[in-house]
Amino acid sequence: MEETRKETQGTGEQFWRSLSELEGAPEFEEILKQEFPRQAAPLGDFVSRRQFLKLMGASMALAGLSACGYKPQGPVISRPKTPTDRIVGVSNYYATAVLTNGYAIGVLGRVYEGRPVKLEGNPDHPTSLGATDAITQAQILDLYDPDRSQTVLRFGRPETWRAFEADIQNALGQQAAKGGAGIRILTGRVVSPSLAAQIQKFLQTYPQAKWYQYEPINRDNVYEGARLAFGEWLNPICRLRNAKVIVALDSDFLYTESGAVRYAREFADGRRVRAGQADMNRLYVAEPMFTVTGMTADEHLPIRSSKIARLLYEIARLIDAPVQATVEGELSETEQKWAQVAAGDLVAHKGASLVIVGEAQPPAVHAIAHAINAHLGNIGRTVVFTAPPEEKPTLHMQDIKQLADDLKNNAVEVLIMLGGVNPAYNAPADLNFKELIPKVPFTVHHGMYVDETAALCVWHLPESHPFEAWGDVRAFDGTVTIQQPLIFPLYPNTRTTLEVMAQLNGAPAETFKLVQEHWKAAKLAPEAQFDAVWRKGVHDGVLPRTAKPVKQVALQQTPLVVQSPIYDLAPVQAGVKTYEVRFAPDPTVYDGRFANNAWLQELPKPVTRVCWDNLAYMSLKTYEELGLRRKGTWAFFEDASFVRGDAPIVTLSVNGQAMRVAAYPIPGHADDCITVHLGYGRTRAGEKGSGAGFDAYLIRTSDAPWIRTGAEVIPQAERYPIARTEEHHLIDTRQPDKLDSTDHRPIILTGLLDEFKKDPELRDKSHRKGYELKHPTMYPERWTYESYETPENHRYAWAMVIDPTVCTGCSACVTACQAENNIPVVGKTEVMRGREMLWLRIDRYFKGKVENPKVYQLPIPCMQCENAPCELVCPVAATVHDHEGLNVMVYNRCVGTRYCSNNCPYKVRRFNFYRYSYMKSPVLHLLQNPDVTVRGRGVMEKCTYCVQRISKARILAKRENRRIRDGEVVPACQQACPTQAIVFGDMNDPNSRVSQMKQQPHNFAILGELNARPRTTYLAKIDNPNPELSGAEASHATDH
Amino acid sequence: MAQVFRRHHNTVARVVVVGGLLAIVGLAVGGSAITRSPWWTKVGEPPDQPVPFSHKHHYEELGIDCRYCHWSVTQSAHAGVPSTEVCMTCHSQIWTNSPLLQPVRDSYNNDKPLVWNKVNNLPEFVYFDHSAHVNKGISCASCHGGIEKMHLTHKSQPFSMQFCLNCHRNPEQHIRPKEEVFNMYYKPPRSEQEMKAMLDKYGIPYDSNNIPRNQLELGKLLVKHYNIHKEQLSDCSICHR
Repeated sequence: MEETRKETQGTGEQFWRSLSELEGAPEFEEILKQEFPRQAAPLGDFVSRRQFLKLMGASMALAGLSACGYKPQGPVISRPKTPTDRIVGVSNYYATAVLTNGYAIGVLGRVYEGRPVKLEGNPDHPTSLGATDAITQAQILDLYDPDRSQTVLRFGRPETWRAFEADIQNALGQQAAKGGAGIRILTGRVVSPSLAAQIQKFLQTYPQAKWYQYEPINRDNVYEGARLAFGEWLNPICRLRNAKVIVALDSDFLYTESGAVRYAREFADGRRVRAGQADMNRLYVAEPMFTVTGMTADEHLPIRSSKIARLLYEIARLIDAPVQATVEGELSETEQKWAQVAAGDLVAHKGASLVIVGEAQPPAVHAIAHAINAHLGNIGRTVVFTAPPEEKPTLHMQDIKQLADDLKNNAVEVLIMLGGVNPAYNAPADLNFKELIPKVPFTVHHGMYVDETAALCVWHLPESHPFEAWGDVRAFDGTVTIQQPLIFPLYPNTRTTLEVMAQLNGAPAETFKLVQEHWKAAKLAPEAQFDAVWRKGVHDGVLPRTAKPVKQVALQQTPLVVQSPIYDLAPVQAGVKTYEVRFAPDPTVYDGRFANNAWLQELPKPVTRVCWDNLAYMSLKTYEELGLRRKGTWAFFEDASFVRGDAPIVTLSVNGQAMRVAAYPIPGHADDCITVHLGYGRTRAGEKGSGAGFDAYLIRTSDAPWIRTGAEVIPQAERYPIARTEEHHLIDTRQPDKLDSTDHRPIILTGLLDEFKKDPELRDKSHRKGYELKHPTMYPERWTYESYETPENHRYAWAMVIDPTVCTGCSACVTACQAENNIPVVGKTEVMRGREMLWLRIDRYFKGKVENPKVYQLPIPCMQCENAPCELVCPVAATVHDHEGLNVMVYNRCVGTRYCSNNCPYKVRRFNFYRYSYMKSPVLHLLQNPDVTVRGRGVMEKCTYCVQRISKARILAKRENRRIRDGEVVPACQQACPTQAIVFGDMNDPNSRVSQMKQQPHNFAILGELNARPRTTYLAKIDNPNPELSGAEASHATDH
Repeated sequence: MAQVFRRHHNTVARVVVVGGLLAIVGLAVGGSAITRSPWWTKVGEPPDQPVPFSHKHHYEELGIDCRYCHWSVTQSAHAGVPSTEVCMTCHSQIWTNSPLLQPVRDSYNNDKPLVWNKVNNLPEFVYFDHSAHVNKGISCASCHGGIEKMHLTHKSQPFSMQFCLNCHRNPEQHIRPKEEVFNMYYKPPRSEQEMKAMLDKYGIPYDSNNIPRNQLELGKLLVKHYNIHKEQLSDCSICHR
């Protein structure tokens, strides 16, 4: 691997986006040179030059005429009654909540003329704080999904609710005699108090019936870990603002785990480096594969999941934490050193440090972490404990095993599966639900899709989307949000789980009544005040005093004796080299429930930048060891057209269970283990989700739901095309005058916290001069407006600053942008050709050794250059400047020459090669943001700084004869950002937040030396590594 | 081989060249004339409507304010088509049996929307905002001029881009005091005295040595007074997003 290790080059350190860039593969150079490298292939040579010219001539002639037509003037519909709650053309916002990773996140739904078009975070909600994650943003698309189930089905044939009701009453009637002994209800994690009350009511009628909950991605380990340490199931809630040192072990607490959006904000608040305020927390992460959390870490350690326990126990030992466990296995020298340094840092920050363990780690590891936190005095300061927010906390794996046993014993006569649970797809493979479900005589599946489980059931009932009905849900801290409907139900036959349960209880009612009556009965407020409290709660999206109270906890015993032994499982077993498989929720489709969401499918996964697929990720060493590397290169392209970016297929086989999957090398992965994301390989997800990726549930068992050891990896002859976006929209960082050299300009200004403290401008960085924003010029300054006659007469200069130090790369901004700006999805094949339309992309750069590189995130919107190179080359003036400094794109002028994109140094322009925005299903038309043009074929488009939001604010301000206030215009990306890494505003107002960011000494422009004068600038990425460890790494590097 | 081209072919060639050029020019001029003509733009042609509603009767003869029916015009991009409930505020009392109003009564009684035919239409890529205009002294009359005289409603302007830009480039020629926006009979004051009286009435500050004498001068004063950034009005992003 020596040849791939080019440490630093040229004037600055080299940042690389892909392995082929790192090794300088000729394929990479070829892509870099071309603006649209993959265009030639799909055209082919079926059109002759003459024919092409003929067609072009004809279309040009006809195109001229088409502009003159006056379109038929459609109807105007006047309502019978004037609505009192809204003004035509003005959107209303309603507070509600959605479930992302099983718990609620509060949102404000923008409703335009009765249809929700966008979700924004609810600033009053404890797990949102005004931001969202990518999955939350995308849930609006699920509402309008054309594949949603719309009718009741019996054996796949349309039926009526009435027929179902008759049938189930009959079945329940037979059960009544034996107290419902044959009834089993399976739900997902229930965080709805009113639903839980309905289920309990049902269980009172049928006392022998059983209710199980199953989520494939659950918190069993967290609760069991708390029980080992404290004697009861508890929900740890981190207070990251108070933490100076955070050690996260196999935990993606900033992205996939519960409360991530809030945690990301608190974490980022602890590391915003500004001049005179150079105070930063330090994050240690040890994990098998980079996660969003790991990419943000100051000190990252690739380590197999099974070794985490050993590592943590070592830390516990080093700080004399009161814990005893049986431990096997050895740490490597690097791991030992890492543990030592982390332990030292933890001790140095008693009461302001925190050890977080991931949901995948066994309970014993959680217990050790609790003992460490208790020993360091962190409990109550950086972490508190509450009762679990679930209505009926349970161990999901135990529940599903129990249900499987019941099914095997033929004890189940009526199986009711509610709320879209899908055990036929996502139950552990050893339980074999696919064969167990059809054995039950009466099975009911209720869900939004006719999925894998529905196909095995007698009855399928269509579920309403949460935006179509009333409901209530708890956030991970217990706070209740009343879900308000945002839209009249799209399909008349759908019902919520709550309605179905109320029906089974013989008391059907409207969802509003069910929810409100529950809260009346639950004594939300004294009767006289109920109405006021309820109204305020619904309006705010938070019911008062519903968060679970903090519990005082103490270790059960000191020292804490952890019974279960801790193994470091050796990779070689019985002579055959085997690998450890770590299952993880997919960063976008989660456990598979969002598989049919095209936005999430097309969102490049934060770490790998691959979309539409899950792959078997492994270290480069493991990849080579398995003989998967192609002819001495890391380049992924098989032919010169750069279309077939393909990966080798392997079979992962453990104890007779096997899955096919494409293998993919990823820097920073631990050796001898393989990470596979759950949620793919679905067969009945819908048009978008079915057939994408590989089903990892096939080798996931109830005993080893997260870490499965002993997997054999058998390379297959096949190859599998993958959509990698890491090499799309490449920024050419070679010096303009030396294009043939390998001398790269650094794309991003970086520095260590200590360097920043010494010199906030980071002048010492040899490459700092490249980032200078001001170039000497003899032309008058075009964009400064320092003299205003009156404050009202002020002219705005819109600008943006992004802080990569706190950016985690979570991609919430990307999906928010997609939702706001009607950005179409193009599909896997088109993505492979480099045609994805996302206006905002996140460039993920690596730096350093492939074994454990540093990661840098650069969200790249349009830079809105003041000297915009794109404008100079447009032959039809379709992209021009406006007076507020926006580089505007006029779609109706664009003729599609694509010169602008060619000339854009930042590669932020996107071209509609086809009618991507054409939607054959009319229901999707409801989704479109009415403020943004839907672009057609042949038109260039790009980020507009959300010009529609600027216009809206400007019109409002004009109406009120005032200036636009700072913070009044919030682009979609800034709105969604959990860490508030994006700041937008008026650069001409010296007091605006964006001006203050621009005045920071470490503010820089990407490719600043081109003098395009981008309005979007960045703060230097500041890292806070531990000098002891970095020193060790430096010497470690010289070993090679 | 015999001569292919005779002398008269020169004439033919000349006619073809000149005629061809003329034809191109003629096509361009003629085409442009046609596409700007009312025959093409439908200016002055009232479309069929379910109810023959007369703006002349309601506005001019009865004196009902524009905002009585189009009440969202000051707050929203859309002026809004009144709901049939608004019609029924009066028509539940008067003309209760008129057969012409049957569709209105049906709509109100059966809770069924009333479907009108659109008179004015803008392409989807144009984002016009009524509130931005009427709050800044651009009157209904500027775009819907003559509506007070229309028995049957028709377009009074072609709403081509040229029409919009004409005003966006020269707002002084059309702007009036905000208070006069809904007055379809407003005429800029002719005499200095009248002008002074109006400016005083609406509290618009002016230089008493330099009182505006005509629409253009009044317009300049108002553009400044209302903080209208004229140079910005012809930015693409003002109307296209």
